[in-house]
Amino acid sequence: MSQLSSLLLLTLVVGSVYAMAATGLVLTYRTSRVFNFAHGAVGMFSAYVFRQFWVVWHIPLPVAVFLVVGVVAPAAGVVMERLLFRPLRSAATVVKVVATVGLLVALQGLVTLIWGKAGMFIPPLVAVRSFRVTSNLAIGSDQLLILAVAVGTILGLGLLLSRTRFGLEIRSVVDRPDLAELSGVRSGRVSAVAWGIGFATAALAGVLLSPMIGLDSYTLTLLVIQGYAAAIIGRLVSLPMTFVGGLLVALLEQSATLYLPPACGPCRAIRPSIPFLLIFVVLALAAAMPKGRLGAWVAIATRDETAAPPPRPRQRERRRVAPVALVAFGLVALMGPLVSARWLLSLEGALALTGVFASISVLTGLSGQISLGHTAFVGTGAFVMGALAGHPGFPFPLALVLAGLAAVPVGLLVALPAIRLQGLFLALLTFGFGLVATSLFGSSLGHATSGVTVARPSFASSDLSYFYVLLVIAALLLLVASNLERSPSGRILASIRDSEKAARSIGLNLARYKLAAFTLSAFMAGIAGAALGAFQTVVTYNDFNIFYSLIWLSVAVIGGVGSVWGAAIAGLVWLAGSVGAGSSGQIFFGLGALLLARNQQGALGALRDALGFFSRLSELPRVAVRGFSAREAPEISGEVTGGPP
Amino acid sequence: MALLEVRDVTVRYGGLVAVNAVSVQVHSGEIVGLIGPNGAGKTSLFEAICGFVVPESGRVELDGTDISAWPAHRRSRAGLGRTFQRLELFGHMTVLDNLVVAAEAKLLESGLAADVVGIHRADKEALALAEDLLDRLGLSRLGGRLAGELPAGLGRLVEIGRALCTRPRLLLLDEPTAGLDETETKDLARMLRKVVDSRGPAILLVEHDVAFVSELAGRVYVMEFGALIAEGTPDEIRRDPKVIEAYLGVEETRKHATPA
Repeated sequence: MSQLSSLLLLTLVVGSVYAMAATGLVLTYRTSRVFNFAHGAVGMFSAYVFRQFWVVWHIPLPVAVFLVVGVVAPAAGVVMERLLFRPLRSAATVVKVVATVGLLVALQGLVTLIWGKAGMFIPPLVAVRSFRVTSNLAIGSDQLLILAVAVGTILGLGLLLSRTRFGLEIRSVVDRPDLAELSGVRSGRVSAVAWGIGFATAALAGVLLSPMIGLDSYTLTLLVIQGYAAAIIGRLVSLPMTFVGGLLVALLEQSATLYLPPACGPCRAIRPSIPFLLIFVVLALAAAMPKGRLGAWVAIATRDETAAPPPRPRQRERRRVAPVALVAFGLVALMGPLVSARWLLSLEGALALTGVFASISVLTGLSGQISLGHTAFVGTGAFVMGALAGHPGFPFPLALVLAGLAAVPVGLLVALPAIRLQGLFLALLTFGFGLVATSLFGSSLGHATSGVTVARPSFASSDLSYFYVLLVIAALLLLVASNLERSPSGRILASIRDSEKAARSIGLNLARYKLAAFTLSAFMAGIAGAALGAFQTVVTYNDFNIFYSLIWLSVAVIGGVGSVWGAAIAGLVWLAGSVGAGSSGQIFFGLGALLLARNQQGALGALRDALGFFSRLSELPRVAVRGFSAREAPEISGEVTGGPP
Repeated sequence: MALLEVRDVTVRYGGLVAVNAVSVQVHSGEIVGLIGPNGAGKTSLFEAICGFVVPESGRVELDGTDISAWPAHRRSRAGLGRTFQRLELFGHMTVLDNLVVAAEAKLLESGLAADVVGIHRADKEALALAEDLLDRLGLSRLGGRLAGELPAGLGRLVEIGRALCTRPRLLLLDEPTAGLDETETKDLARMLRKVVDSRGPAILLVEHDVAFVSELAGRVYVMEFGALIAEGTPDEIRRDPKVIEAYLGVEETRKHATPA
């Protein structure tokens, strides 16, 4: 009995914090139309900052909390909204997801750089005194404080939204930003404040939760999923229902901890996936009955209001690609024997990941879909390779293809819901799927630390000879992506990405092509994973931690997902990051994705744009003179000066 | 037998009945107009025919085959081509590619595996069809431009060309004159006439512009409040008192009321 009541008590305390985080998440999403995947990461980072202030620098608790929750976090939110997220308002969902995923990756990298990888401990915020509620239930003063702060914050936000002039402005921006602007509401300012509030709730959630659950760079980052699960139950609208949602998530999690047998590995693996499973069940129910009341109810929560097509660069001339590719291949091949052993290893790692980037390019670049769970495909390939390559005499190429094929059903599993879901919901779903896959890898392997041995082929056991194997695999995967890009199927995928409606109107079966893109991408990722596994020779489940999906996606975006070349460049970026910056490379990867999300040509495209801008700038005097002397002003002058002469 | 036979189609959004048991026929070689004031249910009926909206009841038959349960892409393959009221171009693709992809969608069956290994399928036929249509629409010059950069008038022509590339038996046009100026509207009428006269598809036009419909269509259906209120030749329609009251009259008074 006391077990049950303490379970309910914990549920109430943790659930109210989830609900508070959810409220901030929804506020930012609805006012700016950008879903902040980094919401949990902001909370995680803030908790580390808070610990630094309070525990390390001995700043008094109220001051430390005020500094983090009242100053640093909201200021960061406002600045980021202004500089990074406001311009994304009408961008494609893929772009928004990539940008906030970039922020998440960068924050995680930053935490690892400053505070290291090991988890940390924060003492309870207040001296723990128990208050006896009934004869067998006591509530701690720390729990009481958390509950009071979280509920108070939710009530405060509720009052702000429903009773104040500013709340009215927020609601008007949520409904019709264009009309709100017309009636004098500055939607930019509203969304900036909303981001400030959003960051503050994330920070507060981090500060409140970390004394209970400890501090590491992963757990709190997943708060975004818990918050979203709560929010979806509140339809992204209702605060009371969001509160119920938060309680429900917490209840399921706490029950799993308490009641699932600790000996059963897969059961424990389920725990981190619970919020995601909740989201999935709700979405699946909605998809199953689109006309029913539940369907309509969820539709409000899942409607993607800005369905701008993913950007796509101008089609460039496609000749003379083959010679350049051959020269690049030759150059890399020559580097093998010339570089030092350490460089060779980095080069090999980059080559193996180039295959992963090619698979991301097919999915995100060509077909405009997004996967935040690519580790599931790559990991499947690696583990199947480990099982197959263990048999002496099993032909390596065959094992490679089988490893790729093994990832196909995994891809199909994700792709089936992808037919119905788009953009944000696909991203969330793949993220959750990757999370489950990570847990399942971990639990089915049992011995997480020792890992699985993946044998290299007998003809290429040395690092140098395996380097050539990796080079050939990477080249083949790039070739596959490039063939697809230039084929009729590539054109069809491009058309679907531009307008699904129009694609249906010319007789294209969208489901089939989306499935095909996912299948092919998973196949390629599986092969790349197999190659990666044999390069490492030992793989553990942590090598395919869900967060690697996000890092890989970020690097692919820096390389540029707009063309297959981008995948090769992403390989270079990875090489540069791993050699140049080591473990803090993650920060640059995240920042790069954050800044380059809009530019499908990646870093090189941005560079080209910048050069183009400067060359236009240098033409400016000439243009101005010409425009002054002759009456016909060249188009370029307006573009650069942007104002009346 | 009619090419398109729409029987008692009802479309409902929640409590609102947008289309109430409407029946419409289109025969081969015909241009049929569907007019009505805003909110009359024209577009809902149109979308129900194309398969983009699921009607609550009723049947849609193409050449005697019941296609009511078919998804939109299958209807397109069976010969229903369409355009959109708000342009839906493949904006990041060239004008030529917009047409080529439509021609290929119909010509090529799945060949992803061949595409991946780089065996290029014979897509000459698709290219030839697309170039021929661009020529006939007078768009050859623009083949290399990005579709998303075109002005609305030209964009509409590209949409029509794209729909024609699927070799439809019935071309459904949703407000093709929206956003066009007077000359462009005239050019469009001439072009559509040519399409039908050269043994092309029949056309069902949903329109606001009564003059445009009267000039082109042999028969006109008039809708109001989700129901069919009249059917006949443009002349008959213009004289129909119900139509004058419901639609033309309102339109006329509105025209007079608007200051020049």
